[in-house]
Parts: sequence; structure tokens; C-alpha cells
Amino acid sequence: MTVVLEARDVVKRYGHVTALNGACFQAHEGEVTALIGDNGAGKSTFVKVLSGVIAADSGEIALSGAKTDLGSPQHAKRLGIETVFQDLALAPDLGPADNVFVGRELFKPGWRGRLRILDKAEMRRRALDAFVSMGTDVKDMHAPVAALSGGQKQSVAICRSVMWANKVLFLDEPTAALGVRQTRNVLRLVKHVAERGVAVILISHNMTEVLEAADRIEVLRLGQRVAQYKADQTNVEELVGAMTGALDLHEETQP
Amino acid sequence: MNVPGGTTSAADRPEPASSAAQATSDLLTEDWRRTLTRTLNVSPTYMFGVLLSVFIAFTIINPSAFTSTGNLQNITETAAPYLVMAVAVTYLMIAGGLDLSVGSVLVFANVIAAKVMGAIGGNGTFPVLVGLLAGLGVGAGWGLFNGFCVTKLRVPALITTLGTLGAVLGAADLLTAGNDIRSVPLSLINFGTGTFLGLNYIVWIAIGVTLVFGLMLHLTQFGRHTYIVGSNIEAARRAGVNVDRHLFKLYALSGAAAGLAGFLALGQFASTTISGHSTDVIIVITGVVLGGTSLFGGYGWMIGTVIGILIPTTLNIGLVIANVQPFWQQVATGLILIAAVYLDQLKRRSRERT
Amino acid sequence: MKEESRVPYLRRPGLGAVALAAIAAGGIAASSASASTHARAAGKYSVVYIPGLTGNPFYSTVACGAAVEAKKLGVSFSMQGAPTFAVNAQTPVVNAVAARHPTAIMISNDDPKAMIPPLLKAQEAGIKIINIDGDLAEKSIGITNIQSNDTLGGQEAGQEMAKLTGGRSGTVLIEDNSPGYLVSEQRRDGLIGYLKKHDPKVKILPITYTNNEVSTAASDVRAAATAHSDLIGVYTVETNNTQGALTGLQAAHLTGKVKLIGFDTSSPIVAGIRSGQVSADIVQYPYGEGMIGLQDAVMAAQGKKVPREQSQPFVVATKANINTPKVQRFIYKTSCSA
Repeated sequence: MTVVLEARDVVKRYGHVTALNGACFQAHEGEVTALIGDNGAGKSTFVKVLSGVIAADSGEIALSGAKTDLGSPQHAKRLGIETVFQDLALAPDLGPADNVFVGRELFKPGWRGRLRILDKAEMRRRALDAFVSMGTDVKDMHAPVAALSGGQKQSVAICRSVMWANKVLFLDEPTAALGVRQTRNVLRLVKHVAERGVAVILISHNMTEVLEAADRIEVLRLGQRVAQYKADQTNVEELVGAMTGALDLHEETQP
Repeated sequence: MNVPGGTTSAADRPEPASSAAQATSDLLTEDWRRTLTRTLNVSPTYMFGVLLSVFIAFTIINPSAFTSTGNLQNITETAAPYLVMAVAVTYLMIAGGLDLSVGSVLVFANVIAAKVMGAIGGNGTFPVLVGLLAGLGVGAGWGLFNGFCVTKLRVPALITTLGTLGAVLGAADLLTAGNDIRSVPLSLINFGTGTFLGLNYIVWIAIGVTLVFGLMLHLTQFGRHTYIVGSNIEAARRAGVNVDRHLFKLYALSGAAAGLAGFLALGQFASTTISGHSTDVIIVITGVVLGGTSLFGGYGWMIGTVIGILIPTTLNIGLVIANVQPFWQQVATGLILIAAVYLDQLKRRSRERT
Repeated sequence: MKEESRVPYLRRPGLGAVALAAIAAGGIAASSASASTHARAAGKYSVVYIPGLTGNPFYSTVACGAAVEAKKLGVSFSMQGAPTFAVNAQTPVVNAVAARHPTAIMISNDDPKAMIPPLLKAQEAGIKIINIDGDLAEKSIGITNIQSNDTLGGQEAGQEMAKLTGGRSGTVLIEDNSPGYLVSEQRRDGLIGYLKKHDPKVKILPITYTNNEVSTAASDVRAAATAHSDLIGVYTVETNNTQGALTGLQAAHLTGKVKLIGFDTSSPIVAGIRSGQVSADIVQYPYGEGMIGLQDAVMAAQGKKVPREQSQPFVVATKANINTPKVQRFIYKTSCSA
């Protein structure tokens, strides 16, 4: 498996608090990697560093083997790294298609494009295409996102990131607010994305869900990676043990 | 699949992998019917109904006076400067901003343009053009100041523009000692009173401004970003929209529009009107809100603003023609505003429930 | 938002007065609206009065005088105006009234020059224009101007002030609204000119501008009394300043010691005159301006000649004469029933 995203010895301090203390991470092409950890383990800080939202104090990030400075979320996006945040970052008054193309609007050809006139029909068509092909039930391209169900909103946010993520996709607690059926749909969507060759990183605290959806699991504790597992070679007890420190891990457990 | 965002046209873009092209096109057809239903259900449609009823009512009361050319000119000429400002304020309010200082900026630009034209002297086109640029310039300048305070100093828009509301008017008073300036070039007065196809030139300018900025709001990326900033500022930031710069532009636009209105008012009244604009902001914001633009941003239409400005203007003038006691005009306008916003709230609530 | 703070006519009413005026004007409009349809059907004359702004006792009193006269002559009469004193507020009202084509428009214009175009249009449409309390810069518009002579009023105030100070030395404070308005300038200069000539020992303090705020007028008077122990007189050129100065002097227990000469009336001012706390008050005659204006409208409609300039008298109201019928006729009305 090709390593798409790799982080080595990342340190991030907030004043006296050390959020990341030499953390490492790897995500592989076409795989779903789960990043788990207890509250305060440094998960969200790590995701922010890896998606360019905040800069690390020290450490290295490599994308497809080349050392990179992500700089900003915009730059990270240009490099093909997308993030679905927990709050989804959708504009509730705009339609699903509008949200998918936020900041990446398509323009009409010719002089109208030079005037930055939007090709709304084309954006709607492509968004609808994506929603249909990814098996979501988002159909009305004009209804404001505010009028959609929780699962549909999640689908819009994920489809948006999927449309643009060609290397890495972060999903921060994508199922936290969803019911059983909708959760299942989202996890199916996640696998679907990975099958297209994207390195998907799933942040979650739901162990069953992680074991079901992920190919690999990396455990973060006190700002460091303490374990890596293959999903089919571990179980909930082991993961919880690694997360809480109940399992004695003097050295990183390699899968 | 990722194509760096920017100016690439749709035709150049790769198609997303699709296995359901037929399903897509079916859904798009269905889309059309939804769009129609939705159009019938939004504020501008309702408000157009209100405007039409107001119009019909006054026509019945006094047909010869109300539908006379003179009266239609009176309504459009009165509404024109408000409309110019309201167009810019619509952008600002859709983006979740607010500008209470438009009336004061109008007066300031009014005074500066008059002073500049007076200093150049003469009655030709040259002083008028310089006066126009001066009015637009100082207007945009105050707008940039508002934008700076809001985006860089993080002073809330309400407070910033409340501050400039007083400060800018005070500055205009300092420049004139409170005396209106009457040295308006004849060419501008002729322009301000001239007509084309029965409508005053100033009305045509207001129509032009509304058309250009209305199309820009609904068709271009600039307009789209305005909606996103107002709907979810964080989403806009994360999507790479330069939110601060966008807001800066909108405040400058609002200031420049007030500057233009101030310049046009010189042509209309052949004099500065220092004391006449303290309630402009109320009329402008009333119009924008009547037209269905959300007070919280993210939502609004330019056509709504046009209707929203025309309703109180038509009502006020119509009530004079109907010989209703003047105080009722204020009462009626106020109540219509509240009723309109209430109706809008009802509709929004039911929309979000479905 | 102080939309009325720049009213140059120096007659901004207090809140209570606005309410009362509203009720009063309600009466006028209600009676005139019904009269209007009646008169129109009978093919009689109709007259509309457009005040400088609505809700102001002075203008409301003009309307009272006109309404009473209209009833007598069988003319339909109404008042239409904007709540702000500004040309851009008055212009659409003039245009809308002209669209209705009344026999005559009586108007207290908001600007002698900027109001020319709409009034010219109305006059060209055959409507008689009657200027009330201020002429236009262009004398060919309008058949007459009915107005008090503000310089004369100021001189009368100066005369009263000289009487009260009795040749003593001391300082006098003048309270004005805001700079730049002809009417208040004339009222001020009338007094200043008179005192300079006849009472040179009196020193006039720099003029304070109150922006038509009662509270500012009150605090400015107290500040001046503190700063100048020899303050002997206060002259206020309009209702709100007079009312505020009166309150300020009462609060500082200076009434009597510091003489107050006011301009215009309101009920607190009338009470102040009765108690002697306002030593003298210059009162215009808006009621008469309204009456004459309406009579002129009818005369002009009948093709009779009307004098182009008509000066209205002032009366100096004091404790001694306030209850006489002559002075009572001058007191501004907030209700037309009187």
C-alpha cells in the first residue's frame, strides 16, 4: 500500500499545554484509516495540523512522499486534502449544489466567464450527479440546506469533500448526530470514497463503527501515537485498552 | 477530480464519474416545477401583491390624480435615491452586515460634491464630472472606514455605523457650519430635472444601478460569495472566500452608493440637503427588509428591494393624494413593515419544518 | 436619531406637544376630509396647507386659523406635510398635493430656493401659491407672503431686555438652535443691535447652540450662570430653548435674579409667563397667518388682487397682559377647538 499522508514527530503546544508530543501518523491510498483516542488525546489538534488549519511547532508532514508545508486550509485543498468538519460548514440558506461548489464555482464559457457569471445549471447537474452516484437521497437542488434532514446535510458535506478530495479526506465524527440508518449510509459512502483511491481518515469515538468501516486503526494517547492495528486483527477491548492506557504499551505496537 | 478553483469554465472541466445520467436529468426536470412553486412562495412575490393592491386602491380613490404622469414621476423621483442606497445595503445585509450611516454619508458626499463643483466653478460638464467622482470617492472612503472598523478592529457593524452615522454628519456640519450650499452648476440642475421617456434622468440612473447590481448579485461569483458570507461566515472562510476583503468591498459599495445618491440629490434639489436625510437609513432598511432580505443575512433578492422601496413611497404619496391626515402615513408604513416581516417569519418557519 | 433637531424655525415642540398637536391635527383632517368631499361635489374651492413639518404647534396653529376661516367661507381645507423639516421631504408632498389640483396651496417652505421648482410646477398648473411665514427667493411664484418681521421681533426683545436690566452692567446669554438660519439670525441680531445701541453696558456672551434640545438649553443656562456670576439676562429664540432655559433657571433657583426673555409659546412657557418666571415673551400670530392665508386664497380664486407682502404683528406677553383677550389670541394652539 502506498503511503499518501505521513506525519512524523509532530509537536504542538498551547501555552503550557502540550497537545501533540511527537505524534506520528500514516494514511494509505484506498484505505480507511481510523484515528481514535480518548478526549484530550490530541485528535482534533492533529486533524487541524494535518488539514492545514493550524501550524505545528515542529515535526514533518509528507504528502505522497514529498515533505510539504500545508500552510493554510486553502493550500491543503489545492494539494487534494479535504476535511468534513463536525459542524459541516454548510451555508444553510443555499442549496446543496451551491454548497458543493462554494469557493469553486463553475463559470459560463466565453465572455460571461470573464464576467464571473456562474453556470448554475451545470453546477446543479454535476452536484446532482454526485449525489446520485454516491447513493444519497439528496434530490432537490433548490431547497435550502436548512430544509434537509441531518443525514442529508451530512451527505452534502461529504459529497462536497469527496468531489474535490483526490488524495486525502478527513471526516471528523461524521456520524455523531445521526440515526442508525443514516449512519449506515454515511459509512457506506466512506468506503465508496476509499475505493476510488482516496486515503480516508475517519475520526470517531464509536469503536463498533470504527471496526466496521476502517481498514487500519491508529490510536492516539497523550499527544502520541501509541498503537496501530489492522481492523480485522483487533477488537473493541484492545482498542479501549490502548486508548485509556490500561494496555501496557512500552513500544508502539506494529500491525 | 480536483481542479483548482478559479476561472476555469465548466466546459473545460472533467466530468465527474457518473452512472446515473438519466436519473439526473429526470430530477432536473422535476426541479423546474419546484422552482416555480418556490417563486410563488417567496417575499418579493407577496410584496409585489401588496404593492399592486396599494396601487389599485389609490387608483380607485383618485384615478385622475394618482395615475397622472406627474404623480408617477413624483413617486419614482422620490424613490430613486433611496433605491440607489438600498441596492448596496441589500448586498450588505445579505452578507450579514449593516450600514446605519448611509444617510450621513449621503449628506457628506452631498456637501463635498457641492464644494468641489463650487471651487471649480462654471456650469459645464467638467465640474459636474469632478463633483460626481468626489461624491463617489468620499462615499467609498467612509465605507472603507466602516469596513476597516468592522473587519480589522472587530467593532460590531451596528456600533461602527452608529458611530459614523453621527460622526459623518458632524463632519459635514463642520465643513458648512450647518448652512446648505447652493452653488450647484446649472448643467447638473438641468440634468436633475430633465426627463427621458417620461422618467427623470435620476430615475434612469437608479434603474441602471439596480439592474447592474441586481444581475451581479444573482448571477456572478461576487453575488454568490455575498450570500455565503451571510449564511455561514465560517463556511465561507473554509471554502477559501476572503471574507474580510469581501466585506470591505461591500462597505465601500454601500458608501459609494450613498455618495452617488448624495450627488444625485444635488441635481434634484439644486442645493445640499443637510438636514433632510436623518431618516433615510430607516427608509432604506425598511425597504430592504420589506423586500424579503433577512436581517440575519444569507437570504434576499434585489427585485424585493425595489418593491420594498416602492411600497412606503407609494403609500406616503398616495395617502397625501387621498387626503389622509399626515401622521397616518408613518403609522401605516410602520405597521406594514411589521406585518411583512411577520409574514416572512411564518413562511420561513414553515419552510424549515418541511 | 434627531430628525427634527435642525428645524430652523426654532419651534420644535416637546413630546407632549407633538401628541397634542397630533390630536389637534386629527380633528382638522377628520373634519376637513369630510368637508373636502362635500365641497368638491359642490364645485367649491379647496385649499391645502403644507407646513414646514408636521406636529409643530406653530404650524398647527396656522392650520387652526385657516380651518376656522375655511368653515366660515365654505371652503374645503386640509393639511398635508412631512415629519422632517427638509426640502427632500417637502418636495414629494408638494408634488402629491399638486396632483390633486386644489384651488390654492398655502405653504411654509423648507427652503426659499430649493422649493422653487415644485411650487413653480404647481403654479404653472394653475394652483395659487400662498407663502406662509417665509417667501421664496423667486417673487414671481406665489401671490403673497404672510410673515412676521423677525428683526422687529428681536428688537422688541432687546427693548424688553433693556427695560429689565435697567442700565445695570452684566452679561446676557443667547440660546439658539443651530447656526445658519435666517429667521434665528434676524431674531438674534435684532436684540444684539438694540442692546449695543441703547444698553452698551451689557456684555453679550458667545451664542450657545442647543440643537433644539430642551435639556441642552437647560444645562447651558446653568453652566453660564455658574461661569458668570453677573449673568442678568437670558434670551431664547424659540419654544424649546425658552422652555429649557426656564427649567434650567428654576432648577438653579435663579428665576427672578436672571431675567428670561423668550420667543414663541407652549403651555410651560405660558405658565412661566403667568408666574413671572418668564419676564417677557415675543409671540407671533400664526393663527392670523392661517386666517389671512385662507382669505387670500378665496380672493385670488375670485380674481381679486392680494398684496404681495403682508407683515404680521408680534405681541409681547408678560405677567401683566397674559390673560387679556388681545394676548390670548396670539397664544399657539395645540387644539383647534378654542
